[in-house]
Amino acid sequence: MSNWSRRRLAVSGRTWLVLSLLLLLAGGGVWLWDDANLIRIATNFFLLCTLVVSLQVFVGNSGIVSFGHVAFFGVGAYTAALLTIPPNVKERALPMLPAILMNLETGLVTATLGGALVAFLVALLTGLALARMQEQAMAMATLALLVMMHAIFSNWETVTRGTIGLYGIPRGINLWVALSGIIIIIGLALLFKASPTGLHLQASREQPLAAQTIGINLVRVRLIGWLVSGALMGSAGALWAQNILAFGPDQFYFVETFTVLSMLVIGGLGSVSGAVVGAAVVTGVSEMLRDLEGGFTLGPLSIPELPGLVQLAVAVLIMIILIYRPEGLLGQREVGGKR
Amino acid sequence: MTPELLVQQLINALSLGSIYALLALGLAMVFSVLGMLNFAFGELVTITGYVMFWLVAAQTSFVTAAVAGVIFATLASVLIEQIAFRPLRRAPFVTLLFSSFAVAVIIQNLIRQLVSPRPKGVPVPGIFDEVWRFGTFQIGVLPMITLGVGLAALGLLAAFLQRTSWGLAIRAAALDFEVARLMGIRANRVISLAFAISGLLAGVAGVLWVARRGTVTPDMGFVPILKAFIAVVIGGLGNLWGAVLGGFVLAFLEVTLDVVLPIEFRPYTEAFALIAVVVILYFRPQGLIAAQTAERV
Amino acid sequence: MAEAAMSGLRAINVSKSFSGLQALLKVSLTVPVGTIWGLIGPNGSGKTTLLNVISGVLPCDKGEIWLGDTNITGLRSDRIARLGIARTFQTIRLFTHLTVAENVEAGVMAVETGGIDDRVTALLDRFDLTQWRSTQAGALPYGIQRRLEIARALGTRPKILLLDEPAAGLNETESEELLAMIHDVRDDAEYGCGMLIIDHDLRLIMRLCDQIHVLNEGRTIAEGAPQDVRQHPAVIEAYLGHQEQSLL
Repeated sequence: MSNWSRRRLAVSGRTWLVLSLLLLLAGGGVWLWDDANLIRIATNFFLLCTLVVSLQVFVGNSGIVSFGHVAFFGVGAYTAALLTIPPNVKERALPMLPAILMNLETGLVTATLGGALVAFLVALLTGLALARMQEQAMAMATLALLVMMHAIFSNWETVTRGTIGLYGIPRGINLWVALSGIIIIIGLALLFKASPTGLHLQASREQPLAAQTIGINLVRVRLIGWLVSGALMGSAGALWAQNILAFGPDQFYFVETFTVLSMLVIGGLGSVSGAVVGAAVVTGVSEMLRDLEGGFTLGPLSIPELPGLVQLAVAVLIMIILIYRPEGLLGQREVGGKR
Repeated sequence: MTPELLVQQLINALSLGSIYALLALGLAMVFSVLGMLNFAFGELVTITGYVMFWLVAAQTSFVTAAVAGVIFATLASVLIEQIAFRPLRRAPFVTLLFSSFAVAVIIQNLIRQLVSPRPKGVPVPGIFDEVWRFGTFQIGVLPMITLGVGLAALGLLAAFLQRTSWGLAIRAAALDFEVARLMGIRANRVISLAFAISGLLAGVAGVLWVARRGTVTPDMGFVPILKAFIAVVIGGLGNLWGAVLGGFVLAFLEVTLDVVLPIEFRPYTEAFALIAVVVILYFRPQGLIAAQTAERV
Repeated sequence: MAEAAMSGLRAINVSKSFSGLQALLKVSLTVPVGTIWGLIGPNGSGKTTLLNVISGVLPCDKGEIWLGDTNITGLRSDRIARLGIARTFQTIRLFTHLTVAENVEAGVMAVETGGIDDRVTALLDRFDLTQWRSTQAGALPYGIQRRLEIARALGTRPKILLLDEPAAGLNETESEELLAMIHDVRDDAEYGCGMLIIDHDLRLIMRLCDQIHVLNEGRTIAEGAPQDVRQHPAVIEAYLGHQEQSLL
């Protein structure tokens, strides 16, 4: 820790406090309001934030788009599912599962850390090759990673139950657990941003060549960012799995990748606070439109079912934001921190 | 493997390869001129498909529908550039990428809303399903038509690029946009032209794609863009003929894997092809044929 | 002087060609710590290529490069930077979205192991950048950007600093300030180092440098003190032949 900048650490600490306080207020408010639907929305929102913030750690600091992170999210979710589903359910759903996995039944924390660990290992395996590539080649290779992992999720029947997916995960998540999760993950993301490696990764984002000529090892900083981000993404997936309780491989593919990346773009790639803001904006728009998607009546007009309306609206929102604010709503700024 | 089977697979690979080559070239065309990866490219295939669906449903002949499909894809491509990309001309790579991603989602969901989220059939002429027999050899009509149309389109485009002044402008812009601008090439026109050619290629590939599948769905553009993307990466980003080569390489890789892999690994064909791509990228980050531009220090 | 040479930079018979074009041919050059060397020559004479080869941005085909008693030939550029060679670029390459302090810090952090904030503050102070501390680098006036790039490079505590046209785009006053600053750096107790400077402004180079090395078409055509180089027939020929600026 000796070559950390205390100054930047202090700024990050302030941002963490402000963000935590805001989220705490939101969570507390919803809890006091005591509306089941609002609590559900808030819980989902916190879990979504863990996802976007984890992605921001790599994409925001390195400036390299990753289409592959949703795969880590999936790895975390499957790991948590295998760790928490009761053995009697597993015996029915996954009869071929190895005995060690079959008899495991762990709690929330172990499952979440387990998700992070397995995602970390997958990130390590892929990152050793990916981090050596040039920026654009790496972005392309992450897309390949997503498709490959999807093929594995969909076809490794013994462990994932193929396209049908897994069910029977015990609910480990409530509003407060989700809130704790996002506060911890935001803390870790800000800590990484303030670290020497974080700064070096940001420098490499701005000017890879100049970064090298002041002594920054590009491969090393990119690999570390990839690993941290992958592990966080795994923990986010594990938390999500313990809230959704049943899922399949198609929940870790292109639509999800687009959704998560778009939240990051809307908020501002270079900012952790931006990730939270982006998730909030998209959640807000989605919730407002979700009711409309199923069809509604407007005075004498009866509007039929509108499939894909939410996605459409989010995409239009992105276009508008990109044209008027190419750096997203917050750009590089963090809340609570003069830089 | 019998010689008959070998020939059949060879023709399969070539016909699939010519579709991939058209797609990859269309994607590379825009990439090389603007340096942007156009995710909305796959939706041009979708647009072709739906135009054909409407016209065929309205009792138009398949050929007329196909021509109209290609024309609409070309117009759509130019229009998308004007609306969604021109305001972002100076934006970084990532921004353009998302803009095109957003366009793709918008088109997909508009089709979902305006037409239907469910697959629609496009009846194809009966001749496409027929098989020519030469002694013991059996050759499908559709793969031969695909190969013929694909090669003709590639040949015409090559002639256009090599022989005409507009072709020269495109090639110059692909090599170095700034220099091309200095040479007095009108930037907006070249870009529009590149998008038009890109749309045309997507349209031709789209017709062939629809002829193979016989149905259209709102998300049908996904597989074509994915294949084009992989082929472009294999061939070398920003290199036009590399993209064509990449398309054929990808098709041969897929057909070979399909023949060679044991049945239980079939679902992983795509994954294996992608692993090959990653290996290529690892050793040759610039693709098989590196683009001829070099970053100046 | 001999001791300084040993701790300085030595390029020995360096050659580099780009697909048949000989950019450098057997160029040898020594820059002792505590001296300022100018590297001049007509356009395309290989000056920037030599800087790129020394800093590890490009590999060289033949020859060796030593820093003190370490052979740095073929090392990655980040290794070379940590060993003690820093550089700036012809077109400024700052971390535009990071603040001035962060730009400097990134350099300091790559080599130091403690007291980062104090060192950054000291460095900003030393180069008159304190008032810009929290400004995004991309928003700085051009002249300040040039200065920041040098400060960032010096943050890595180099033994040798390579400057690629540091005065390009500066007005007369700014050039004078830069010249004074570079002289100060050479003699600075803390940041003192050897410097190799490329510039097109020959008047500036003649006043700034202790020694001058002249390249033409990838070869060394002269080397020596400014007044000797100025009168060297090969140098006059090379410059007049290319119809560049006249030598004063």
